Amino acid sequence: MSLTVTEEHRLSLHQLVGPGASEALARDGLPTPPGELEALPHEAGFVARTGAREYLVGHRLGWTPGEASMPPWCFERCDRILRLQGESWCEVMSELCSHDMHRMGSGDWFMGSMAGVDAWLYVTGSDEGGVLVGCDPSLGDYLRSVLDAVIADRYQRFN
Amino acid sequence: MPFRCYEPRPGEWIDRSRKLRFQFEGHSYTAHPGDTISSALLANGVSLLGRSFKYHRPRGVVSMANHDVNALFETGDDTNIRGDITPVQDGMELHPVNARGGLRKDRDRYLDWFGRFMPVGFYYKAFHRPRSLFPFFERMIRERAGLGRVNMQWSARRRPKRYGHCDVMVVGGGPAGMSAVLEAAAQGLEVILADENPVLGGSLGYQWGGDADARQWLGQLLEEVDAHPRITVMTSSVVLGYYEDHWLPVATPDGIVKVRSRGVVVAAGLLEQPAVFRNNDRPGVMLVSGAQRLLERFGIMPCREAVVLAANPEAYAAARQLQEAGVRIRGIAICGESGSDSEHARALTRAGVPLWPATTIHEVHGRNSVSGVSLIGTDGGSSPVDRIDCDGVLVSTGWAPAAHLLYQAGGRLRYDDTLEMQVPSEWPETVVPAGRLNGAFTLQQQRDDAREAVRCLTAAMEGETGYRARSLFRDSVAHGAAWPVSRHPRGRNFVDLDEDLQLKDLEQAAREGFDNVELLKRYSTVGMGPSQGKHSNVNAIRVLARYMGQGMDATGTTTARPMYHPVRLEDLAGRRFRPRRLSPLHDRHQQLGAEFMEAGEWLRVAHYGGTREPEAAIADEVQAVRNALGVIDVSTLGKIEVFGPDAARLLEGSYTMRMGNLRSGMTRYGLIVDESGVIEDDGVVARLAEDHFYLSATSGHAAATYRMLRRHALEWGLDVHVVNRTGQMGAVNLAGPESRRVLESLVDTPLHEEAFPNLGVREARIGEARVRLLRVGFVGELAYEIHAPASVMGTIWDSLMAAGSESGIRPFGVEAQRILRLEKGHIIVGQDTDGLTTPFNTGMPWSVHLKKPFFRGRPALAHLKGRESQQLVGFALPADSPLPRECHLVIEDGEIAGRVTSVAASPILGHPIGLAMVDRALAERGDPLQIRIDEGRMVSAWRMTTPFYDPEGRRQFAGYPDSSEESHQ
Repeated sequence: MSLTVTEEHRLSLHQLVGPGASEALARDGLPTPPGELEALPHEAGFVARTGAREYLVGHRLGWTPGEASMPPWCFERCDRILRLQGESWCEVMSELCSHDMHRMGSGDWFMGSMAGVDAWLYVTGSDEGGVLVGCDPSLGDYLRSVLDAVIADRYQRFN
Repeated sequence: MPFRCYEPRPGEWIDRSRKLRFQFEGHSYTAHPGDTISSALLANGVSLLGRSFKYHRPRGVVSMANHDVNALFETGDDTNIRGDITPVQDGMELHPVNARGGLRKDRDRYLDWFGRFMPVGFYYKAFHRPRSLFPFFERMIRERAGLGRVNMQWSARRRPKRYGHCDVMVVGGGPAGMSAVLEAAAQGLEVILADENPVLGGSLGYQWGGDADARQWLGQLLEEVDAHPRITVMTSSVVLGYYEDHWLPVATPDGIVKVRSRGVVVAAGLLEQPAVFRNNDRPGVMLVSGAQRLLERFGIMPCREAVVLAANPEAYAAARQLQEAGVRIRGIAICGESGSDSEHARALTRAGVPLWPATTIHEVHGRNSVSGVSLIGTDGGSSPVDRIDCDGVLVSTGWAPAAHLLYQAGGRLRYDDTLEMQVPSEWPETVVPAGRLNGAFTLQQQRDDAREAVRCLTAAMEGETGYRARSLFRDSVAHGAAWPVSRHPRGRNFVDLDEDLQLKDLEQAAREGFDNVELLKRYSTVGMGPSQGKHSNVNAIRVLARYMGQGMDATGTTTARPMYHPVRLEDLAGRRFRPRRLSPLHDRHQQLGAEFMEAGEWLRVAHYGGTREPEAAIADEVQAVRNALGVIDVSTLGKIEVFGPDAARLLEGSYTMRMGNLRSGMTRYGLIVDESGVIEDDGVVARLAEDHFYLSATSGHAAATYRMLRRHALEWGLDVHVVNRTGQMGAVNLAGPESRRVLESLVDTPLHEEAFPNLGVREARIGEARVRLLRVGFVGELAYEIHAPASVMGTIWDSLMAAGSESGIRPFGVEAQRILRLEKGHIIVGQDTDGLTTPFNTGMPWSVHLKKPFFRGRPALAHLKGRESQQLVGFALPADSPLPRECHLVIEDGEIAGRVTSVAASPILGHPIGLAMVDRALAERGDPLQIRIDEGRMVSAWRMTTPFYDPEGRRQFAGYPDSSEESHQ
């Protein structure tokens, strides 16, 4: 299967921070990853635990905590989300990131430096497959161009 | 003369069924795929492959192991190609490096005749006098210096790097390396095996080439390695160095792979060392292992008749191997006893090969190739025979471990008097030696040592410590001579073939006082050539040790730094990663014909106006802001949320100003200094609730401010959260007399003075978008900053442009903003400040609240108050004055008294204005500033207090001006 990068527009992201964050997730039937830097899927996206009391909620229908009071604090995230599909996605990432992606399996979550910028990566277990790569929206064009370049180079090398 | 064997060798690397054609010095030759440049030339009878670096002496093959730096070649677009390891390609057009007019008739070969006038260190001693001649010598040396010529018409190339991971990295694909890799894989570990040759096998493929059992074992090892699913093999791949935490860059044919492993087995083998005798550099003199490589890998007979210089068992085995292949062995000079009673030695004797005990080579004869040798006793006395005719001299007098990785990992070597070579003496638990490098010479020893190395390594990886640094399988016989050096009254006995250093050169250097091995290296340049001392360091240490009358260990060794072999720049460069951040309004700016500029990682709008003259466009933007309405994209500002019970405490300790008493719904200018009181960052602090603040920071310092706040929160044990939303949110600043009128038509909150005073902050909506409004500005006009998630910024921008069209709204860029803020006398951190500037230097003592019991930098500021040596002052120039540039110097009485930090022509004031950091005395006197501009011209600037424009600050308040008629027209 060839490698493709597509834009993932369907997920809206929110960052939930502070005491009561896990309870807020539970109230709305969203999963709560038990450990930091872990993620769990739900019917409409995923929840990643990005810190002791910090969660990143990806939801196709959009999601904010039901109660208006704070804490927990909730912020909209506008990350650029790219979906990388193809069996050799690990090989592409090995040119961009020092993390050993070969050991990552379905549902694994990673936050670190890719191509010199902070980004996150989620190995989806969904039907579409592949991995979601997210980064600060201001760096989205840059990361997309790097991924496109790596894939094009690989195509040239191996075809 | 070398030639290709008719009969293929069992494990040779070449494909005899196919032929390649290539050219060398304009002559056409044929080769086979798998040949290197050197083997191909030797197969065609060409043994003169290069000229030496300094004396331009004829040189040829020595090792065939990536150390033959006197056999370098160039093509049209590449140079310093190593012939011993670079595959020859069809159609290649090769030329030697460092030769003028061809190898045989090199016009610089006469330099060899004048060698006595170019002793060690002559560069340092000569050419100083007369000084007038120095340019001549300099030009001459520069023309002659170096090896290959760089094609200055080169095109930039980059090859991407990538990362690799494994449990165990095994370096070296010889018998020990392959045994280790199989042992590790059998334990369930993921293993990478890297070898610099295109074919695995190492010494098993050439040193044991004549041994049927060894060949069979090699085949078995190759099969098992190839079949094992947990083994990844990297051939033609050099492990360039060892870095902290087991990072090992590997130069592969596809670029560099940065491998991270949990453990490393270093089984990189040995480097055979040359002997030192007169003319030991003649083409045809080579290491025994080099001859074996030629024979077993490429089917090349290195010569027809050879004399062997032996000091170890390997020499006799090789002599027999070559004899069986067809080389006539004229005799073996024994300069070290080890191996002389071996089965191989006895077989050679039975075959009629004379063995000359206690004998070494005195001199090699022949001009461009070997025609014979003269022998001498190892004690300097006569030898059993005097001169022997031959066309090859094969030397095996000692080894050095390829232990650079071990050394870089913290390991140490010692000289083993039994083996007569250096061996590892200590090493880290998870970087272990194995095989010949560790003194294990027989195949059984190598196999056992490799398995033991893996046992020790895996135990260490599991946290056990009992196996630390032990070598159980070292050999017990010598594998080299203690002193493989032969003196000759006429010299030319080379210790370093890279740098043309002779025995007498090193002794002379020691006599001159360079008697430490590191000093000797730097003075003589021994070991500093392209092979980095792989063939010279051990003998150089021997020479120095003998001169000093001390042992090898007492003499020491030099540092083996990465990279192990030279690396192509395109590989080191890798893929270019240059992050570029774009504002959420970038597309809008492009549509408006913006000119962009880099501001750190960000791409910002310098000015709009497309093809117009920049100065005119910028002036129009300034006028628009002052007279009507301007809008600037300030999305690059740092945007940080701070919330939680201790939010106020965090900010109180992080800023110089009071933040705890800031009322909800209000903002305050904030200044951050470091521990020494130097200005680091500034911005606006807005209080949204008792426990919730929203900060802005400068574009270039946002990430650092965020990190600082996070660190403070941890260090001070505060219950607070800090979230960096810099890229997640966009921001625009709507500035100008019309700003309120336009904005209030869009928002759902009142903007009049009572409802939204100056420095206020409000949450509001523009259409469906939730926004934060901050009544702040940098340009001295009524202004509102609008912050919102990046996803809605485009809509907000469009709404503003539509609503402001009747008011003449005009987007403005950074260039106009810089002029506008300069007119207000506002500093830019990093431009008007430097690494020594405190708030007192910039005339901002009001921003430092020393009554606060603590804040970052307070002790330093308390000490520095009133002691500043420089002051930031304002100045102005006549309208027709040439414009100084930022960093032009302020001169007083011929001395530097300051520098210009900001300067611009003010469209509003009609003349240039600026800021300068000047000596305090000058600042206090108020004298005009004498500024030295381009070409040394001087301009005189009069002093002017800041703000230059609207000093009362009336224009920032609502109701002024009441109508556009009162604005500046």
